[in-house]
Amino acid sequence: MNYLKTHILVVEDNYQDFILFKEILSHIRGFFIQIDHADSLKSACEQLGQTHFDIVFLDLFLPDSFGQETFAAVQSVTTAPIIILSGMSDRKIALDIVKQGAQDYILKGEFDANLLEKSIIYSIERKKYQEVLEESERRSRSVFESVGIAIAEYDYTALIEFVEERKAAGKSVNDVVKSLDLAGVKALRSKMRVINLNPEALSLYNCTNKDDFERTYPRFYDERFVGYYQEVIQALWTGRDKMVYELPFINGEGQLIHTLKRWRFLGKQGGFYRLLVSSEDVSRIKENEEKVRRQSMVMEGVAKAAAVLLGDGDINERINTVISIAGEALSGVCMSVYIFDITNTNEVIYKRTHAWMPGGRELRDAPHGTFSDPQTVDLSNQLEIGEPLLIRRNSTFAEVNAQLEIFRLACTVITPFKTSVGRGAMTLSYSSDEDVPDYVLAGMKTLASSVGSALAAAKAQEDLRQVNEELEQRVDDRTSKMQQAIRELESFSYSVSHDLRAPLRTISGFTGVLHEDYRHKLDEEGRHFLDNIQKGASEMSQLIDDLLNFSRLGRRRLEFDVVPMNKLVTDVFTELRAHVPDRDIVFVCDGLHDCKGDVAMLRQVMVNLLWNAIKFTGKQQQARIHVSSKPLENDFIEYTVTDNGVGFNMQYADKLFGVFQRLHPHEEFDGSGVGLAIIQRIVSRHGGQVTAYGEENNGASFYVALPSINNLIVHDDD
Amino acid sequence: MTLNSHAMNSSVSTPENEHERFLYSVSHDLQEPLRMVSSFLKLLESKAADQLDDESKQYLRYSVENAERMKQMIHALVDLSRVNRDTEPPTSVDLRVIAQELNGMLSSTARGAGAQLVVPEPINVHMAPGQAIQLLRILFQNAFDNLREDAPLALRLTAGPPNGNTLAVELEDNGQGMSEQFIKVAFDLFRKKERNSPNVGAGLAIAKAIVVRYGGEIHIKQSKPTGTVVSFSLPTLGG
Repeated sequence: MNYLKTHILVVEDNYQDFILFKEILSHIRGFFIQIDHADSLKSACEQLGQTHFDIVFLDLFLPDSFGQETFAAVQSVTTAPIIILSGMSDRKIALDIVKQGAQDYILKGEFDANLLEKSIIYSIERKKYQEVLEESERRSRSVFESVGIAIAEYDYTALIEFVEERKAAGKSVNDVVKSLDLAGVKALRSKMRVINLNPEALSLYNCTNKDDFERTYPRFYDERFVGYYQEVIQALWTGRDKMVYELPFINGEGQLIHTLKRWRFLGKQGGFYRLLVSSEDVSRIKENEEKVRRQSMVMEGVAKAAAVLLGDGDINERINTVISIAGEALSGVCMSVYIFDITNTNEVIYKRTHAWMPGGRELRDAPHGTFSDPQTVDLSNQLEIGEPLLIRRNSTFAEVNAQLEIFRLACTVITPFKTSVGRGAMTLSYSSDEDVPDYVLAGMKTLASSVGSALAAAKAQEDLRQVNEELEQRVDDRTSKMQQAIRELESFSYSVSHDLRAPLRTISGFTGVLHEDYRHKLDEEGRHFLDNIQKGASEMSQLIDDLLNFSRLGRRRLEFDVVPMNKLVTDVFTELRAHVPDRDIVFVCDGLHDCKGDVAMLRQVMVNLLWNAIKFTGKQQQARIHVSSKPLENDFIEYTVTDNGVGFNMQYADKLFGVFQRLHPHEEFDGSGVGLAIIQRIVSRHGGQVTAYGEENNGASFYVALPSINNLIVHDDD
Repeated sequence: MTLNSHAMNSSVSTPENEHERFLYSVSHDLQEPLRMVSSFLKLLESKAADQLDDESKQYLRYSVENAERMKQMIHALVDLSRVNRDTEPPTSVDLRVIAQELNGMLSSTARGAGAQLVVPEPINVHMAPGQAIQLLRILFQNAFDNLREDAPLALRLTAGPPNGNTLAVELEDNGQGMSEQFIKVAFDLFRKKERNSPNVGAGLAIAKAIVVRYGGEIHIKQSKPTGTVVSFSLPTLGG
């Protein structure tokens, strides 16, 4: 793996964050890094269009785009792995986006060079596995699409239900079959879902796609289908898994076509009942019926085997099924899968991983060994080239001959494939020295290559699972570390606040006594001193109260109830209003939605929000405060508190919610500045979010998202 | 809407930041009102000389003392918040040299006279020299504050063989010792061994913060027949 030089694009609109990030990246020792910077989505897309990047670090909130849209836009212009740069409050969005294909997310301010290095390596690796997986799926699908006969794949759950219902009602198969008419047949067909059509099927029916097919098939449905469906029902009733009929029909170009239809009921696979219907144009191939029969059997076998490879489940079981289906279809007496080591060209080390013989017989010889015959070079060349090799008994390849002797085989076809776990081959052996036709070789070739890619996919999937596990573990670790840190912070701030209160209580106590008993003995200056002492002491006391309050928030259990927000907000405002009787305040509260949460805590949120609004509109002749709500997606309600006060500069928006962060000088507005930190804490414990928007001297809006009454998932961080 | 989401994105802080910010806020935001309280208390005290009676003067005295105590507590918080903000680069530091210097200083006072320090070998650790001095000063000051009246202070600073990049260091004294009960909380902030002690009880909390900053641990146990052993680990090489 070459990580020697990694070209990184950092998409981050906050320049200081970028500089910090770059600084940390520069401490990565494992590989050289070239860093480019984009500060908007537009610039990011331009750069990604021009230059190849190995990895993209993406802040989801850019001046010209935000959230999932940012990710979707960047994903559409690059194949490079994307790591989300996330803040604490948008962690949920980041996790969602990881599910949508981002490789990882990193919390801003919470990473070091070591973590970044790992994240980069994991992301590049993970992306590669995904590509291998996609490639192999694409290849398996192409087998399905290139078998030369029309194949349609259906979900026949509706038919099963039809049969089961009537069985359960105690009806007899004859009655059910007899009562089926054309309308009933059409109704049944309309409940069957078409999963897939190969190009041959589309061209047979003159359709461009699945939907087109679904629109046009009723044209072909006439009374004849009543008979076919009667047979289908009978087959399903008695547990048969196939049915064959000939269907002459007039295609879209007005030609009469004789088709041979084969229905294969494959049972439940991948969550639905899977039906393969192959249609073969028998009118074209009547001349050589035997050959055609055999060829179509081979093709069908190959198609069916390939369909097995598309499914889920244990890879070894799937391959065993594949070789048993294909071995039978190709009329062989033995079909096996081998993995080879051809590092040394003079010898081929082989290991048989899967084998099939008719009637469940087993091969008894050692499943691994080494060829070192002079002819080995041919074999290893052939494995390298990837073309099928037919070896007959009495050939010059003595070691293979010997093996054929043991099993009384006449010839074997070795069809190589390449896979991430090494070189491999599928072998098919015959007991009579027959002519192996081209279509068998072609079928073998497609099967071998899809077995190869299925093996690679299984390996990649296993590797991906491991990488995912590690990723999840890291996410868990980080989350629990974070929670631990929050708890420590709380207990720390609690004890500090507590300890600081002790001397303060003494000061307040004694100066209180002085105020009560000795004030009259002091002159005006002395009284002024005393007032200032008391003012300072009460300010400190308030500050410490707020701190205690903040540290307690994290510890109290939340009690979830339906909260009548409209009443709560108007009550709170009325109470607060009483503290400022001289102010001119226009308060508008639009019939607010109820939400779900802890009433006492949410009351605290509204007290803080409204008191802020009252406080920061203090300089307006007439203050205007407006509270409204609207439902969001995902069962949340967004409450908005807007005022026409002094606002704030968005540049400092990140400071708003820290403990004791104040954007305005002390003297102008009282209060300790802990209020917004408290709001954020409570709201995040409800699983919601707080955001703020402001302009200097032009008012502020606070947006609080809280669970709606329908919200079932109530999230408590602690 | 864009701006709104924008604010959401940046309204973020990790607990670690929050911890630092908390210390910083407490120590700075409280300082200002405290200065006001202190200075007006002193002004009132000077005025009170001729306007107030003895009882009220006593009350004022208590208030001044408590304001002073608060000031010390807040200074201790500032010191604590500085431990992790310290930018002095770590280098190789010989604790023996620092210990001898400190002992020379402290034993020159009347109370500390006659103190004996034994450091058998150089003790080279890798840390910021300023923090090495701060750490040892706290531990030595503690030892001198807790010496026994009936015997001269005997101190012994030793280091075990290095374990990887870590060195275990021990400072043993023959002082008054600590109760098992106090040992449990000795490193908590504002814990004092004696209620009336003039110290605010932040020294060991700061000492712990320094050791933890370098990835080490610090413990106290009783020493026989009397006194304490403070053991702590420090790195010998830059990590």
